Amino acid sequence: MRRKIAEIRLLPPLAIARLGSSPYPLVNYELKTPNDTGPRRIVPAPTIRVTRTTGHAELKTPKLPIEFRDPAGRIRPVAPFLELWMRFEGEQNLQPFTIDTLRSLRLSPASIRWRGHVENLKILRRTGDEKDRIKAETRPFSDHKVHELRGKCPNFLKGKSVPLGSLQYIVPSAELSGIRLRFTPAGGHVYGPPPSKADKDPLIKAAVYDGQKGSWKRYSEPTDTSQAPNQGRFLTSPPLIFAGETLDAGQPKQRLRSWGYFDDECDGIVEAELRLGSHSLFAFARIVAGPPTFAPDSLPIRSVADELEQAMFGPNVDKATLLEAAEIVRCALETVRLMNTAEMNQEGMARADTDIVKRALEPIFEPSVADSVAIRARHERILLALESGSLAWFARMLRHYDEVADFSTLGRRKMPGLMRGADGMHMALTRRQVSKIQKAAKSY
Amino acid sequence: MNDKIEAKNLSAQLQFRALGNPPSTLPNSAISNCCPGLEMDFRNAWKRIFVGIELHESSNFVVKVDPSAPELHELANNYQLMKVQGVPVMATATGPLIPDGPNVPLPDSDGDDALIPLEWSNVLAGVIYNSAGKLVECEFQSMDPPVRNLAFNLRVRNFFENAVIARDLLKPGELTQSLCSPWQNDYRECGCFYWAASRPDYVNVELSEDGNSIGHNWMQRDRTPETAKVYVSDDFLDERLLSYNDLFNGWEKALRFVIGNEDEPPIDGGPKK
Amino acid sequence: MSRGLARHLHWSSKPTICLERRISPSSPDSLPAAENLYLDIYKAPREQAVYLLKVAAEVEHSLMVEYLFAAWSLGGPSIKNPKQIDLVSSWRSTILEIAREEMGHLATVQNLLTLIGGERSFVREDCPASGDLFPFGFELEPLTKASLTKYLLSEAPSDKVLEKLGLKDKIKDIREELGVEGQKIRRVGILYDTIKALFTKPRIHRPQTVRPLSFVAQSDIQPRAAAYMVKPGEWSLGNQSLLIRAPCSRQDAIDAITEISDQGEGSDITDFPRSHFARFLNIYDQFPRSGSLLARKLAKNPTTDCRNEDGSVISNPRALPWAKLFNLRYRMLLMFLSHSFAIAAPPDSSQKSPRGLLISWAFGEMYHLRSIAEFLMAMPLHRSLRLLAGPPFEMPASLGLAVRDRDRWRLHRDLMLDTEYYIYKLLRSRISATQKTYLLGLQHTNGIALQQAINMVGD
Repeated sequence: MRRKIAEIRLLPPLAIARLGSSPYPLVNYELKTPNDTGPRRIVPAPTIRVTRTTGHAELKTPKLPIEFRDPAGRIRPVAPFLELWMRFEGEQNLQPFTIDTLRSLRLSPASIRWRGHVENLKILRRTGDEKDRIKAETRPFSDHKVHELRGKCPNFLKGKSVPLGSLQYIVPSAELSGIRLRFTPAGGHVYGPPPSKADKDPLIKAAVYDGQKGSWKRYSEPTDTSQAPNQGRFLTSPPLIFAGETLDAGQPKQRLRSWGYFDDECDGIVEAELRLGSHSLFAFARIVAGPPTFAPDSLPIRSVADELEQAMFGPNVDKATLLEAAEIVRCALETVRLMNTAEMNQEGMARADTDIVKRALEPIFEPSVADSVAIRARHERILLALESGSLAWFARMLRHYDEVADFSTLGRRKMPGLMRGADGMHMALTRRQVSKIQKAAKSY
Repeated sequence: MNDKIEAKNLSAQLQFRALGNPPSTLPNSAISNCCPGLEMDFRNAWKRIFVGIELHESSNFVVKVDPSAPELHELANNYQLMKVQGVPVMATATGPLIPDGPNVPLPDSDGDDALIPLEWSNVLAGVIYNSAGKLVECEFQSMDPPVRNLAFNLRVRNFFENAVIARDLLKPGELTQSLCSPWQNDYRECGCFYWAASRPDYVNVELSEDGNSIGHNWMQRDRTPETAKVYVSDDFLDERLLSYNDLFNGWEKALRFVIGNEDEPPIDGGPKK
Repeated sequence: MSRGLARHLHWSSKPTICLERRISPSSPDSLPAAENLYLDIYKAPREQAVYLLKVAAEVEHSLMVEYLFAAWSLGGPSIKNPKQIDLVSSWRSTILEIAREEMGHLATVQNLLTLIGGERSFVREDCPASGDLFPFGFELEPLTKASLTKYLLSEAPSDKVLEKLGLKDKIKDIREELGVEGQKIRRVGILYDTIKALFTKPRIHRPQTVRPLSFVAQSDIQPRAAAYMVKPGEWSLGNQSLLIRAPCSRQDAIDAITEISDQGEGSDITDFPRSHFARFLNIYDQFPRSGSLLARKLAKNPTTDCRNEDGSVISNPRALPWAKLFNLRYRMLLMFLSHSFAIAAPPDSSQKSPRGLLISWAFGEMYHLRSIAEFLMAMPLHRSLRLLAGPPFEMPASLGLAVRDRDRWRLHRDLMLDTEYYIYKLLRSRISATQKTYLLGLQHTNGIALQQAINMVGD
């Protein structure tokens, strides 16, 4: 008797793509964490090479060095795959959906239909004009062609659109038997309206926005945001983060007026439909396209993964390993290794505190100990102590989430230091991260 | 290919890495101290966490009320969320007004005590975990005089559908909508360099004879082994640094990778010194 | 106590002909006999203050390493009961916190020395140190009820304060329980009371022509020396309990001594729960009868010196090189600290100095010492695991700084080269995977620091 499928899922649930104009995507690699406090090593990993014209793919492991650019100097985009997984009725486990699964169900690859829907709402978020919505959707497809995600917008010039990337259903084979979709992001270009006087604006890839129909080119925000409509309550935070020209500089009515520029980042969903004849099963995942990581052997100290984990499992852990605490410290080291801490100690957050809440302008740490080499040395030794099985007193130094507005001398010196958090104040780790470090510290 | 994953092992699914995907496709490569963020502004994930209203992604204003919740319509008149289950969502900024001065409540630009909305991620962490699908008491206060206080029991949305952020929580485009436009704006004049691990700041660092570091600003045009190691401070008027113009149409060759603490050599066709 | 340092300090119930003058501040009748402090030679007030501050520095340094040893000794793989694990974990945290605070006191004492033109002092006698002088014989030993009692009694406030707290009888009983040794323990508070008195200008000032001053003169208090003091933020970063003061005036000095006394070893206590005394008393009250099982079976006063008959010689061939590495890194810590004090902080923050790097290195050494101590405490002293080795904290032969700054960096370079030798030797011996991980990490960080030191030597 043919087994019944209870559900399908797309994994990963959130895939991040990274912009780049090269037609050759970045190969796969691993980040090997060393035993010492040196940088992680980038080593080759099994890579799926796709022939875009046909959708066929093969698995190969590239050789060193890993090239982040192509020979023409263009950056290779990161184009993630999403895999279809399934669970049979009566079973606890998900397993990859493969061509063997299709055969066993007497289905074909065409039984799977894909759809993508992404948008760029950066303009709409500011203007509030629904006609500024840049939307790209594919029709449902089962073939293996490249399906472009063409961003269209009512306020674009007639016939214009911006490429926001593409989707391709990879041909399953004996070597790569899974059912997978690839999202390739756009090239990382800037778009805008036609220039007022000249023929071309050299700063943009193409003129697509209609400055007559849409208000984005004329959009402005006052430097004193309380003068904005609704006293600036609905502006982005921070405000004034779009390309534009400063008008009335130095005066109370100083404002930033947009040049009408926008980019080809986007985010949205991809959906898989398994058509079983009598009914269909659906699964979806999220995709995001952002800029490259220019230090790919480093990881951030607080990441979207930490957000998701906290949202899923709550702010507290029952226990934590030394390795988990050490990983957080390693990420802190990777951040300070590339940061001019002496500069940030006097400018950056130190100055922001004065601008935002009128705190007295003072360095955050004693300037004599804030130099990058000294700070890096300290972090390296803390990490080494953690990874050898003994434990530093890191937990004591952490800033708790409700201490972010403590601008006292001691409050600003808590960890992470010199960095801005999501509330615009001094950064705190997620509560779950803090709990992990505390639990790891307690067990030693 | 990965073999099997228990269906209820959501942790494994959150961390799942598909065959062929580099580590930079994973959520642990995306920063989340979003102000506004780099790959995404994750703060947008909390806007619709309470059924019936939409909050600002970073402050506690109610920006919209769902038409299907007419009982909440008053909240559309400039209200802010003050407490959830009795827990305040704001904190008073405190610190010294003068160097070495005592710690006092600090004023905002209007001269009032600065009340800072705490980021949703942390302040609501307990609520989201413990009360998903349930009603919680939410207290609101009007922003404009006369001050009025309202309280409603609002349902907390489920954050996930299995391991995917729920559809009704985030629509397409909303994760990236409040980022810089274009994103290159965030690479210049960022006042806090909070993501050095992704967007380096200080490169080619070595110890000088005064026992302190010297190196280059990653945004400096001229960065070779022969370039004097003087860090040029961030100033958008300083021509020694990459300009917005350089980034808008030439970012790919202007911005260089730093791997193993080694700065990539200048790219052919990159910005002139 | 180093004979050379405290040779002129005497405890006596009544003066003898060899003792020049009593220096403990209260009247002879108000103090128990054990607390009358005398000098056997005349010293001018500033000289006296310098002398006593150096004694205080040695006391703080000695207490710090004792407490570290005691804290690290707690726990270990033999403790399996979850309640006991929690208990020793909280004791360890408390005693480590106290050790850190002693470090802060040590820094403040160095600053006080700098204020009045005295030389900095990181000298201390190896353990076991003589118990004749002050305050008790310093020993490195695992935490027991007896050793805890010694810490408690040395940090106790005066009898008057104990009476106010309702603890006089209890402490008397505790002292008696310790026996003869208990009677010998002196309060460190007496030392600080004496130092404070030297900084205090009496209300009625006798004209200088009538008799010599009995307090440090204003002209000997030099606020300009502040550039050579350690600033609180340089050591403590965000640690709130690390009390470091950089006094610049007479009143600052008095306040700093008062704060040390309140937090630590003073005669008076204003914040009882936060005092060292209260925290040690709390642990004492929680101590089960069989308390010795809560600490690892470490040998007392471990030493790498096979001629040292007073210590427990580490003869195990696996443990000995680790112990030598420990001593080496301890020496490096002291030299980094000493060197950092010798560099004036630049007058404004735009100017640079290597002070910050040296301080970071010093603090980094604390983590290294902890790591190496963990390894030592799992190794036998001799052959069997009946008695374990431990961190020896042996003082180097010299703490002198070279005259030229460049040559001071030469010493750091050489000590890092010494480290490379020990790493090389240990990597080729029988070590665990964790030890190998640590050594490779140490090799990496040491290598970076070595290159930096070579750059600073510059030749």
